[in-house]
Amino acid sequence: MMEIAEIEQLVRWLEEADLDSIEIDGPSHGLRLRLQREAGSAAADEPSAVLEPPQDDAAEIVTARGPGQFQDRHPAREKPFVRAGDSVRSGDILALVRTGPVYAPVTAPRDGRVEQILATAGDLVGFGSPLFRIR
Amino acid sequence: MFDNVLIANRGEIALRIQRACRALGLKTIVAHSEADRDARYVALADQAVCIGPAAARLSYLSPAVLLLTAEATGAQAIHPGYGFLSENAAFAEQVEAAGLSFIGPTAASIRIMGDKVAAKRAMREAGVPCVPGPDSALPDNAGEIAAIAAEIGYPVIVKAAGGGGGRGMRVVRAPGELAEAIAVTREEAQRAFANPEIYIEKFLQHPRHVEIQVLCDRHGTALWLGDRDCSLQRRNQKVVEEAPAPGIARDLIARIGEACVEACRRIGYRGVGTFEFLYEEEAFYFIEMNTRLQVEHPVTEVTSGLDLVCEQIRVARGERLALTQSEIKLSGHAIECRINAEDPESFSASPGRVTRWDLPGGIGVRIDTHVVAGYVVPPHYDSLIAKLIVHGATREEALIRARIALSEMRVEGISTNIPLHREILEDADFVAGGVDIHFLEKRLAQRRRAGRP
Repeated sequence: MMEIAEIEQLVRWLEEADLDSIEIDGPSHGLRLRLQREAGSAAADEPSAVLEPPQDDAAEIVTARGPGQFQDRHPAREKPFVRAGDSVRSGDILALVRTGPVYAPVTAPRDGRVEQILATAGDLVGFGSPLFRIR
Repeated sequence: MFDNVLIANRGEIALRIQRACRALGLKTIVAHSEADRDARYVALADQAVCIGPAAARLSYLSPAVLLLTAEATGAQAIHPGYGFLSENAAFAEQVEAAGLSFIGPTAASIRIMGDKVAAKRAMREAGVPCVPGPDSALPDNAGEIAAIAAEIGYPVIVKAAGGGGGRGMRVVRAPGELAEAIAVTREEAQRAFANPEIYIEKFLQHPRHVEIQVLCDRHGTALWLGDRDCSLQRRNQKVVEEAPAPGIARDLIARIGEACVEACRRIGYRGVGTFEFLYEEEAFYFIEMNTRLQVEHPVTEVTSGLDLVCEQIRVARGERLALTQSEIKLSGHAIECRINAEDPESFSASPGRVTRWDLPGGIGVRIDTHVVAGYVVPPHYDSLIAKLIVHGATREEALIRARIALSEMRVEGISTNIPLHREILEDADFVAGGVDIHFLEKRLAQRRRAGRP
């Protein structure tokens, strides 16, 4: 993994070289830095680094961790945990994967907005099955 | 009674089991890892579910994951195939406790045979000949151990009761080496098999590996379906198998077969199983029983005309075997070559994409494989990618068909051991028949000395 100090060093180098962005692909991680410049100003007086996951335009796919039946709501509730468009916080329960009497929660890996629900209630899902797209 | 089967295995045997289920009109549920997502048998299944990542520990070897999968898919039976959880007594028990059928013997049978000392005792009681040596674990006292070894006569072999398949054993050629071998094996037994018990046997110098296939139902019928010679081995892994074992008197085989069947009746064995023996100077010595389907079961299928996997599933459904021993007719000779994705010289694994996959055919030729052109051999598992099984009226005819079949087979993109098989089938000693379990290793050592790459 990358240290914060290394990212700060990269930001300084970008400023000195007058570059807007840099992308780094490593075996275990990727990094894209983009400097936000103030509108109308060519100079980057107060640059800020924006850390994003690589490639997918910051969208993240939440997948199932094991086999079971996808359930979009608590068995005792009528309302689903989330609907497309809802904002969620990291750790919020998005759905349940049921195997017999066991309900395993599917949680949001980070803050964001549920862009799309990729499974239908009652579906048999397996390890790695895509369930939600969060941005 | 069940009408669907969860196949808890992968590769060629997953497809083999799937075919048997379909022949019996049973729905198939394939539990696969992420690495096997694109396998052909996954697409052919009535239902398929990805159960975990490539690592077997988190997928095919995890009882908890498989039981959850069975629950989630509504499976009524589990076929464990070979390897993985097929000889895990606790798993068999959990499957039955969950109200499902385990397609295999009872947990109690698996447990007896998994403990090599208990297995030997059970075999002696049933009149099955065993390797000289006590059928009890060794005492702690060094003097007593030395006396036991002296009585058996050197060389002896020290084995872990929980071992098997060539693991957890050490040969001792002279009394001076005994104490250290005992200490090392005991330590290893505790570490690798969680069972510190060890035992000692006569070490046979030039044995062949000959085994007996059995098939038993739940109603007291136990049959033996002939023998197989699996002496061609490298590092305790079988490479070529044949049925019947050449040059062994048939009435001796029949006596051993009857003794195996008697042992099955005594322990209430059900399903398919294999009694493995060492054979030396016209005598058989029991080494272990495999309580599952074996890789080499097809050589018995083609000589007996029986579908062993269908029979295994039928008896798991509680059906009675429709055959009697006198109706079992063995005909001709069969040879199986295990085709592995490995370098034929160095034997290192050769995973990757298969770009060309031309299979042989013709009379008496059968191929069991899950591979198709374009398939990617994953690096995570056993390197077996296909089994070539040939059948002829005589051993000579089977050898000829095997040579022709191997000459037709073309695999590109990965390395395979096909060149090694071609060499074995031309070897004068192998062709003469009856080589011992050290034969292949010796040939490979000669080859290295001769400076071949």
